[in-house]
Amino acid sequence: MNSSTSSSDRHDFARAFAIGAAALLLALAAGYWLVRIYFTLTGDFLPLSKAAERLLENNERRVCLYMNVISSGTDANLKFELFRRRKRPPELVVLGSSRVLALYQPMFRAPFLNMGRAYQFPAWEREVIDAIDAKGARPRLALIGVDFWWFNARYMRKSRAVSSGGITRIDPNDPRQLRIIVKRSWENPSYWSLLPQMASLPACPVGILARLKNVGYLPDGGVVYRITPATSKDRRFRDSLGRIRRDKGEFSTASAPDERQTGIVLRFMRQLRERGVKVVAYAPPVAPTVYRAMRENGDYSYIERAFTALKRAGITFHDYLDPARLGLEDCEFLDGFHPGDVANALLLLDMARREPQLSRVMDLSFLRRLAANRGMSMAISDALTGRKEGDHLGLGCPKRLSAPLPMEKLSRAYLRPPRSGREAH
Amino acid sequence: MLFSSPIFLFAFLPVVLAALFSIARKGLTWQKTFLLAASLFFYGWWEFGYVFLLLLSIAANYLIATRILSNGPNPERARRWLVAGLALNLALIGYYKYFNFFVDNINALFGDVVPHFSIILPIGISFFTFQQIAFLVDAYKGKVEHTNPLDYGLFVTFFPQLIAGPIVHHSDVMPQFARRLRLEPHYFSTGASLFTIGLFKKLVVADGLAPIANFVFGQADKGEPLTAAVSAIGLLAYTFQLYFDFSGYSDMAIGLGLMMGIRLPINFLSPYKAASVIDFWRRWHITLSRFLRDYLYIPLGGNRKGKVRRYINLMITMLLGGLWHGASWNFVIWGGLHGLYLMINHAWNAVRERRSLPHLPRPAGLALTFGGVIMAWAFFRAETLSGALSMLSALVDPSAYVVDKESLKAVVKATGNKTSHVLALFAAAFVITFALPAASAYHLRALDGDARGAPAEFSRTFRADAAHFALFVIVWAAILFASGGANEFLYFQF
Repeated sequence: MNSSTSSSDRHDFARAFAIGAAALLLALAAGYWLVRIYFTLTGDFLPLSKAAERLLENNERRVCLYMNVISSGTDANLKFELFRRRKRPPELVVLGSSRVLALYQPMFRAPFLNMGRAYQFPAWEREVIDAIDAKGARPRLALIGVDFWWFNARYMRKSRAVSSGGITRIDPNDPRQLRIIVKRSWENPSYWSLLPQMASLPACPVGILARLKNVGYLPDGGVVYRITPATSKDRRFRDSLGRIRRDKGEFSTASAPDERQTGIVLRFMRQLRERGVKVVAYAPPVAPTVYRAMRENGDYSYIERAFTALKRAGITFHDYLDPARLGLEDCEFLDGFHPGDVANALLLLDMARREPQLSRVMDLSFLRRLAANRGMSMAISDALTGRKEGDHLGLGCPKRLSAPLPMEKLSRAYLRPPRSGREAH
Repeated sequence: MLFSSPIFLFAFLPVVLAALFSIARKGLTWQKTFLLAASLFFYGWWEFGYVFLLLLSIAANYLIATRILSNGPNPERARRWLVAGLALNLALIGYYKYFNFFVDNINALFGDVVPHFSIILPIGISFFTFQQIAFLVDAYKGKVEHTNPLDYGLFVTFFPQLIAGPIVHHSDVMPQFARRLRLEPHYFSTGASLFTIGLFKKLVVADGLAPIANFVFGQADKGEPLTAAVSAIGLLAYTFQLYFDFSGYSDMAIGLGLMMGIRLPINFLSPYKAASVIDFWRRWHITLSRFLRDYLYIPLGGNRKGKVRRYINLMITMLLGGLWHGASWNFVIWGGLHGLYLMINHAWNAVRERRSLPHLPRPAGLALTFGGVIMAWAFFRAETLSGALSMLSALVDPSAYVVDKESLKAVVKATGNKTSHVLALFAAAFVITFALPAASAYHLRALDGDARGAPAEFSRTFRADAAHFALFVIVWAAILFASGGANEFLYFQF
């Protein structure tokens, strides 16, 4: 009797366990598919190849932007996809980190692609070279924004920059990406606000951040920024100056450059030249206040030595790290070390003066008009979105658009003529 | 399709289970046909083209098996069919797995005389080829009475074990396919629990440790100098990664089988608790050891032809076992090392018995075995011989015994997690490996009736009770919150 009761109890427990396990599995499955389908429809979980296609194709009425909520580690692959899928290959590319992202097609006359963040670190050379080789058609000119910290052994050793491991794909099967999207949408319930119309979402913008905040990558790889006093992470350059003071991160001090990294940078440039790509390297500027703090607070002599090594190796190199060379102001920066579009216009104009060959690919009249908006840093972003730049750095910057940008030029660059099979670029 | 991928967990598995049990009343043939189709779909998800290769291999082996069976009264003809079958299977695996290795070696000896072929290794080929070889041999030996295409196809393709084992013997599963598969709460709850533990082992522990092993072995293969501490951490990380990855996969496979009412053989029995290398091979990848013993070591003569032949047979078995894992000399060296360990172990046992010496104290045997196994993993994991030697030389080079915080920080940085997370992973790996019972044995004993009265190590079993359900939920929570990045299973490459 006891034995049969015990056996029956065990059977009941087993049944309850099985039902509980199945219910848990089904609940998880329901949650997973909801997240996956919704964020695929918003564009966040869209494979980067498809996202790039949408950026290039779906821009008839409004500028198509891309920004996922998962990871900026996907940016490099987006750029490679844009490069791969352009029907008319870019003749001019800019390579580098996020510090070159405020460069745009309207600044140039030749077909252009901003590949900022596709060469975030020297170790990513293989991926860039592979992308160029795979395309077949090579750009004629590569502008390379050289970050000074690439030559800092302390920073490079501590960061994950020594390998290309930082380059990621969109992968809805990756538990980390799933966790990130669930966590971020939990913290920002507005990310779910498109749920009611999820079945009828337009193809563009792509990615929840692009859809809700109208920010992200343009089809030419440049970025539409939206930095407000509330969202700025470097108000009064507190973050940048803090890193200098603490001798941390990108602003770690050193007296000698990292020979290994210098070698990789030179090898990369040599490989580009061997492929018939003219290489012009430059050091993007930092904000005047940040540059002063670097001079006063620490030993950054490795930078000068690294730049000298590049020049000695026969690289065409322009050193704009000191913003005074271009007469830049703090207000023309997005933060302590990211120059805005006006600063970049001034930089390109100066470069064109020094290299007449370059002036042929630049739209000098557009650059002069953009450069006339002194004190601004997001003039192109604002022109494309109708926003007005504020004093996001909290420095009392007067933000006045004194020379409005020619909208027809921007439209030509970013909007595809309706009912035309041609690509805008 | 990976067991750990959402597409498997949240689409394929629920759909297959629901469909399998709902067609139970239609009959056994329906269920088996459905399972075969589902298994082929599962295989084709990775590379659809190779489904045809798999089907071709099954069809050819089935036909040869029927020829062998029908020629039972004529052993010579049956033998010829067997040889043809073995040649076919070895040619298939030889082409896909070893052709380029062979070319590399020819080219290394004679210059670039043979071109490389672009060959993609069909996933699981080593596993399904071995299963079919065993079937043919047993058919020839009269251990198989009859079969039919459906049962045979399902025996080879049954998706829980198709691509990374356990290597299933026909006698393990074919009788089980003869009865209708029904949702049995005992089997289902036991299987669900075991599957979840396997998933935890894979996603949390193995994938969590993978970046450390990848980083350190990557440095070694690139010729970067390593400190002793970094090398030891890398070796330990890989030692646990491999165990948790592969035993986790086996647990999931057995768990999946149980959820469908099919019992697959145990593949791991806490191998790092082994106190000798002989014992290790009774606990590590048990189904491969069984295959190598029954279909290679014993046919070679086993221990029946004297001590010297026994040692030679052992070495041949282990060298070929090493080569089975991959087309690289590193795997051969790994197999050779284990062959050597086994020879020493057997020789020591003989000396000990002859001179009536006591056994080594268990902790000493355990440490010696664990140390030897770890050293051999260096060859198993490194992509180059110099990388493996660099890993090991860092452990014996006095100048490598330096405190270099930066290199340790780089190791942690490679994981993308904090130091505390990495330490917790290692702690979890140690505790699960050395303090807890083997998951599959713990669960399967629950189906064998009452374990009371069994020795302490075997007296604990899974029970479908509230405590185990709470553990089930906790383990799922850990998987959701702490799993690493998506990685393929290590044994898929073999």
